[in-house]
Amino acid sequence: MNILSRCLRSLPIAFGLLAVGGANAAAIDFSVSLATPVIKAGKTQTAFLKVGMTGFALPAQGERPPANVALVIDKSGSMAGDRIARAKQAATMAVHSLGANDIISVIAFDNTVEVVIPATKVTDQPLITRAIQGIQAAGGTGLFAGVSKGAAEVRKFIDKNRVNRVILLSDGLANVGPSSPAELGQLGAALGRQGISVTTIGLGTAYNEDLMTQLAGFSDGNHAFVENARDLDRIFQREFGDVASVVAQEVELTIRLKHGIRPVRILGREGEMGRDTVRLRMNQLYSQQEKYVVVEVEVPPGKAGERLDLASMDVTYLNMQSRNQDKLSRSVAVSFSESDDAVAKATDKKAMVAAVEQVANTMSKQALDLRDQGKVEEAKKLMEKNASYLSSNRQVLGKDGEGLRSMETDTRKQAESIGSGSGENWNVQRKSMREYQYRIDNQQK
Amino acid sequence: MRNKILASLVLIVLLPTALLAWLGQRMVHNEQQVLEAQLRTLINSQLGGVDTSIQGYFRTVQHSLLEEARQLDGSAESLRKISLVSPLVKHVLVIGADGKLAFPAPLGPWSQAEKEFLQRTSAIVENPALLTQGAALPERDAPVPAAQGLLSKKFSAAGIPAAPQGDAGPPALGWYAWHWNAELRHMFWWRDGRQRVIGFELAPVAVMSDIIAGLPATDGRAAASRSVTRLVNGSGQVVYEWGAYRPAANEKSLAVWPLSHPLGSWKLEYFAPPLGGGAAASSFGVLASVVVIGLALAVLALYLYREHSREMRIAQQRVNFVNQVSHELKTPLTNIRLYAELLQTEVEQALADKDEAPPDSKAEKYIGIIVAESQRLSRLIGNVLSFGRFQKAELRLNLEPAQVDDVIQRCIAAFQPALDAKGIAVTFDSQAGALVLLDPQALEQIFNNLVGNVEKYASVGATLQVSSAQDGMVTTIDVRDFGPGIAAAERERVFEPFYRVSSQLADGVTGTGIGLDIARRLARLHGGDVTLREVDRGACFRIVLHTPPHGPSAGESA
Repeated sequence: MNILSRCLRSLPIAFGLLAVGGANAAAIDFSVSLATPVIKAGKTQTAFLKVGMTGFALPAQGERPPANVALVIDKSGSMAGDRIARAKQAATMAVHSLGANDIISVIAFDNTVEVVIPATKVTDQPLITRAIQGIQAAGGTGLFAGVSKGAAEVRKFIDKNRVNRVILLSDGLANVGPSSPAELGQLGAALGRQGISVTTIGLGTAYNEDLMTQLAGFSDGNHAFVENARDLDRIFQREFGDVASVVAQEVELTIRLKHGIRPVRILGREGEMGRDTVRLRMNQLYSQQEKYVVVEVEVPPGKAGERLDLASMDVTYLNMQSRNQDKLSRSVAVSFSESDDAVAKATDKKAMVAAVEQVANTMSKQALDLRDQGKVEEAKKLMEKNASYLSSNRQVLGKDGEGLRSMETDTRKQAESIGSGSGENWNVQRKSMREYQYRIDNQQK
Repeated sequence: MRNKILASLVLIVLLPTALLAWLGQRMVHNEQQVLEAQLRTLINSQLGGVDTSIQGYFRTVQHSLLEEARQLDGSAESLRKISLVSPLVKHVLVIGADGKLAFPAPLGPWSQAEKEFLQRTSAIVENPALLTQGAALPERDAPVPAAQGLLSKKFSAAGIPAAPQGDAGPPALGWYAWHWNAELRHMFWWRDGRQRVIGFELAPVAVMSDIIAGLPATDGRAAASRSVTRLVNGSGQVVYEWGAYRPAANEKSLAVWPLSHPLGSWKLEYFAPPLGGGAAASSFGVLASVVVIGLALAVLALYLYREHSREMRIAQQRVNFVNQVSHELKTPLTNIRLYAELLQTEVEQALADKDEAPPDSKAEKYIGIIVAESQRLSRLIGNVLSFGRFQKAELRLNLEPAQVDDVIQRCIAAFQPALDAKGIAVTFDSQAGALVLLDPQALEQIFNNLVGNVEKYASVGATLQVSSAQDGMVTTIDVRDFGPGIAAAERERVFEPFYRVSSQLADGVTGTGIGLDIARRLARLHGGDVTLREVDRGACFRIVLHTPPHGPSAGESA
């Protein structure tokens, strides 16, 4: 069984080489693995399938893809004072870190939307920074409209060869136009489908973190919770660093399950589940960063010694370096055994770790929902159960399970705070938890 | 009198001012209305323009969706791919040629999202006719505008012919809008070559985002954006707004524009500060001119009033002077008359004693004339004073028991010399001998005035007939002459004070013209009247007095 799993693991490399074919450009690393390549025979089992994609390394001197960025700044009344000053400063810094080949637009919103700088090449930086300095804070928060207009500016020069992004800086609760997390999530999804991702940066402790994470998540952007406005500088550094390293866009993954195997749930991402297919879409892939998805599947009872093709899958994406559409395919098989020992030994530890993380993250989200409903005790119990789950898996996985230790500790701490925190304190904790969950979901750096 | 003048002057000032004010206000009001109508037209055309641009967006979407549709090969795979890849289309519905659901698979299995989709569209699946009744956008021949929204650069819009839509046959494509969970959803449907109806359900949030992206932004600096336009959805919530003006919580919009299909349940609302300004300026102008004119009229009225008062005062002074003079004359005249009458008596006595002088001696004659003339003067002064007193409403009757005939007799006797001199014969038919309550002075004055007129104007007739009659409380005295008479036109006018008939007869004859006026007033004061009766020759004046009988009528007749 070990050989089998090793073969499985080497398959991707072989396929990868084949897939690249005659192209000189690098391709992303596409790998698929089952957490349990050998499962117990005789009864229906669930198994975790991990599909990972890693961006290829960009040559050091290579040109980064040009950026097409809209800075959307909340100038509602609650931003007055320190926050708007910091936001303006960070925006100015953002302008300075872009080059003449990049396109920037600046949008400021309150009840209405003002296009401070329409989409333009970053040739006259002083003009742009002066306009930014002129933004005044007052009024309500029309977040949906602000992001829509920002996306409109990005669309003016949208190009598959550019990294198209909206960066939202907001602290308040949206109160003009569509304002629910679900609606903003749908907006994120819509923008994501056309190649624009939205990075959301929440300032202060009053913003709606569910709304901000949904908006970013569905469009494959980043999310950061900034308690102090000073952290903005660091965030923007990371953001534009990111922009510099997108290597693949419009990543579409299709998984076809065979032999009556059913998908149960997709962990960590949103996707389409059919009777025997799973479809996913990712907006962007960064250089040397892995993004993965874990799919829980149900396998009907098999006979000991049998080996089945579990699934075949392919991924298509736009290669930012070669400007070509690439396609890669993989497949994965599963075998059955009577022996528990064999099952345990065959475990793909890395895949299992990923699966456990995702399952734990899902439990964490459920706990947060319970806490929102006021069921504090139940929430706390769930988080503690979560911590135990992490703990037991860590022990089973031995040294490979060490990667779970920090998550386990964090989970225990979160269990504490979920049970005891209240009011403003809980508010801050919740935002931290959400950001944490978001990072696990998206493998955000 | 004074009050009437005052009242009419006030009216002169107030009426034109009021009229002017009213007209001015109407004018301002009309101006205001015109301005508002103009503004409304402007606003409506602006809102209409926004509606048209939204229509343009839907048209672009339509073209792009049709283009997308070309890539469908009819397999479920391609249909699913569209919903995954397309930014706008989330779900696809296919109704087969038989009118039944073809996709998603009627028997399942369905993903969660597909389940919810079928729930939302259950009404359509049950009755596909609902969908095909959906109105299409108005067709235009203009080239498709540069693709906007979430479809730009993905689908080139060049060279797509407009979808055919003739009057013949059922509509080939259209838009359907419906509400689900208070959210407005759109489905674009069309018929394909195999008579199937294919519908693309659009993601509401994506459509909303596109529409917002296409609407104007707010220019922070422009002072001109003193207005705000709001896009309001079917539940009355504001989806998006642009403009710097912030209306009050329950302020009413200046204009409302319901959007065209397929956004039929949404509308645009326009707010701006109310149009007060211009009105205030012209109101002020109108008010100012009304005030100025009012003041001018008031000044005029005041001037007129002062002039009038001055003239009234001067006239009054004259009247006062005349009265005063008459009053001054009265006392010496009374003395003259008294002593003249006494002298007359003495002379008669003396002559009767002497027994030698003929009865018509010169002394008697002279004395007679003095007495007659002084009596005439008395009467004249009496009239003037009476007239003055009438003006001041001071005249009162002094009733005492007396006999009418008695008084008349005395008057006739006093007039005798003058009447004889003019050759007028007097007859008196006296039938009013009863003792009654009467003001003898008044009766005297009345009678004397009438007889005086006869003496002055009717001496041609040579006859004066006086008759008196009494009936209960009423005494009637007729004074008839056979002179030239009074023309019909003058019958009432002769009673007017200062009026004298102008004729050859009257010219050169002295008189004040107040005799008949005094007579009538006195008679009326006495409860009666003086009237001119119709006779064929000359004139006949009738005096009627109210004379209640006084006690048992035991009195001697004169």
